[in-house]
Amino acid sequence: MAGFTADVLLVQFINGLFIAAGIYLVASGLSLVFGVLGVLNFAHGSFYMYGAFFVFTWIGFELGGFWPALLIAPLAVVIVGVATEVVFLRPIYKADPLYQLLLTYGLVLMFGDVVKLIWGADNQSVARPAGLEGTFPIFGALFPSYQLFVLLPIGISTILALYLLLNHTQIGNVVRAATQDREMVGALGVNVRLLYTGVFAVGAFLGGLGGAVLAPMGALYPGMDFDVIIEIFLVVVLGGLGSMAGTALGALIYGELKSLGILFVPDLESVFIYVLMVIVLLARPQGLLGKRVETSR
Amino acid sequence: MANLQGSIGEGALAQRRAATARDPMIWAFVAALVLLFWVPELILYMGWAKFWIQFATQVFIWSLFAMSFNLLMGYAGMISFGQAAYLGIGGYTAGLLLKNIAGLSFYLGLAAAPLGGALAALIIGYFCVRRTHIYFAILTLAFGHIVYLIAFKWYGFTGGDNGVIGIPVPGWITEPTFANYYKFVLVISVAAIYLLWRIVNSPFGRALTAIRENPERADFIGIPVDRYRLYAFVLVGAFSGLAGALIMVNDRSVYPDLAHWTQSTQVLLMSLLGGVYTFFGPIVGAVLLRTMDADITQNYPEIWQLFLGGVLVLILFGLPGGIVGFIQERDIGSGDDHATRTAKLLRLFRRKSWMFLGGALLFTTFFSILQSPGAWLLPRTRVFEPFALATWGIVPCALLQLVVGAAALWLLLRRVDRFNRIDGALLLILPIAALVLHVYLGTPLSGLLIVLLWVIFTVYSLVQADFRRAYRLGRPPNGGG
Repeated sequence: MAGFTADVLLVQFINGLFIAAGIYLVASGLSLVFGVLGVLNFAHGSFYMYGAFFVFTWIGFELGGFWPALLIAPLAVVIVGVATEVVFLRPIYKADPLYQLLLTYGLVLMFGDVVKLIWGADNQSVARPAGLEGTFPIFGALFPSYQLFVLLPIGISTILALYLLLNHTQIGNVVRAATQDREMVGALGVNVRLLYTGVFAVGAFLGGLGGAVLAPMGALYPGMDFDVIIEIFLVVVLGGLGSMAGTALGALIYGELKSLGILFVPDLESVFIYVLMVIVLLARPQGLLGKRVETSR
Repeated sequence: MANLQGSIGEGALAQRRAATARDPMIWAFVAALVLLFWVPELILYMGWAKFWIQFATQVFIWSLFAMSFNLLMGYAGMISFGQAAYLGIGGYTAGLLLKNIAGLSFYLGLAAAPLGGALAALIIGYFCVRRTHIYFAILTLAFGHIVYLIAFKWYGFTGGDNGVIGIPVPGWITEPTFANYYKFVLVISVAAIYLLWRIVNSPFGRALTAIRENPERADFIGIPVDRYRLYAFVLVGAFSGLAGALIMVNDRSVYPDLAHWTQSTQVLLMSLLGGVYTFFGPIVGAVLLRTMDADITQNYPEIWQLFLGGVLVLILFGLPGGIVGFIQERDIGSGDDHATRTAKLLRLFRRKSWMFLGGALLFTTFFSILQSPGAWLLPRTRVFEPFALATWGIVPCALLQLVVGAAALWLLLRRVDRFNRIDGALLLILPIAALVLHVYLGTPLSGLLIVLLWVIFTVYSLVQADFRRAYRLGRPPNGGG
């Protein structure tokens, strides 16, 4: 077991960064929406799935191939997301949070079957863009070019963009204020409805972007929404629901555990994250960077 | 809270004990058991398909599962999204024991299932009950998924996606009509449901409700909140494990699908559909959902989840108390005077009658679209005959029902505050006529069930004492009342 060289560890570490970047793209949208709207959106996984399938469809149109799809697919998801928010979520913001949870759960079921009706129940795949199919050597180790030149830069720039947007713009101030106290923001004259729809649209965009970027890396299948929602739930619970930095940290831990864990205990690498989650919950129930909750409710 | 304080006082506690010792509900359970015991004989005597015996068996297993789940969701206010895990653990525990230990008593293997479910719930619940609401939901979902993954991937132990097949069961179960197994399941389910009834009506059950309503307050008056929540979770895990073992024996095999999240969805929906804050609601939910499953999954599996999701959304928006809650909903503890209460009651009755008409139309039209897609104006295959409604297209048929039904309902409801026996009878005839019409049209069973619920609602309203009083009181004083 102790025979790993530094090379192998480094390779796996960088692979872990790839996993982390991918999961962060998806999880950040969920975390942002929860922070502002207080709604845990089960259907976020569906947005991810729609992002991936929209890329598949766009490539079928043969209008410029993969690259425009990286922007168009998430924008199409935004339309779905805004429609969802206006039609379904708006009427029940005042209801019990569990009702909102159940509602988004019902939407997951519906979105899932719609995918089957439109794209069929079979696996689909998206080819990697030309020039990025192969691998690229760094310090003698080979890394997949797509992950290195597309996934990782987009992941890092999303972290930066969200950080700048939330901390250095007027809109970001309002959004951060809304995560602290929604009623007060409304009382200060901010159009809360518009704010909610806007934040939900950004969340849907991030989910769709995650789906679009990850589409060439694996099969597209109905049910990928549910697989990803469990992963991003683990990430946000680990990092702290609603905390953007916590989500990034959770994604990093998730990616590294998954990719380094496979060296030590292949087959059971996915159990590690559960073990860690249990430890975190026992020591810090609000997650690593989460706000301390005053009441037990 | 009144109940809760009552259960703390020593004298009240003794009184409650005496009351539960003579629980009259036990006779209702015994009567249900005796009546339902002969259902297979009835089915065989009437010459109906044996499928219905199996179907009834499944309904009882799912009722047991859904009612135990509702102890968690409705009474304790803990919504678990991963309850299928304990169903799966129960099924695998009993299945693997019976398969791998030759000569193990069947009953012993079966008895191990609730223990397995309880043990798993104890371990998982220990972490989950520390957090409430949204976190609890996420954690149960995540742990439920890992149970599914273990069942799916651990080929050496669970057989992976090949499942465990050929589980030995005693000869009397494999008897071809399934009547014996039906009776076995019936006795176990009714006994278990009675046990659940006693649990929710015990001081422990009241304490759970108090925790649901206000955890801080429950904590202040000395209820060990986390410990009680864990107890509830473990209890429900045991009942779910039992249900899982019963499903396993029914199939004589067990697959990872038993622990899949879609099963958790179904049990959640059964509780919501029947009524979360009612004890018997989940039975109605289980009957309805199993019937819809038989109608839809068999013929249109590709839209089953779409349908489930749609029903879930519709319930959340239109029927938050579930069907049983909807039927029972009354404005009791308010301080209004009689006239206001009467007006409210009648308004509620009017509104609900309209909702039932709408719901019945929605469901039956939905099924007629499924049955003959594209036949919007005229059916494609059969020749149009003006007097045979079954040959009409979807739109004219729905329009006819809408116009006739709405006109009849409007005429009847206009008179509802000057009510007499004839009006009551007419009011009841409307949904019965709708039922007969749909039997004639060949609407699937689950569409018929909605109309049947309308009949039940009307009967229930008409025999209700305060409703009858409302009619009398509703008359203007100079009208001779």
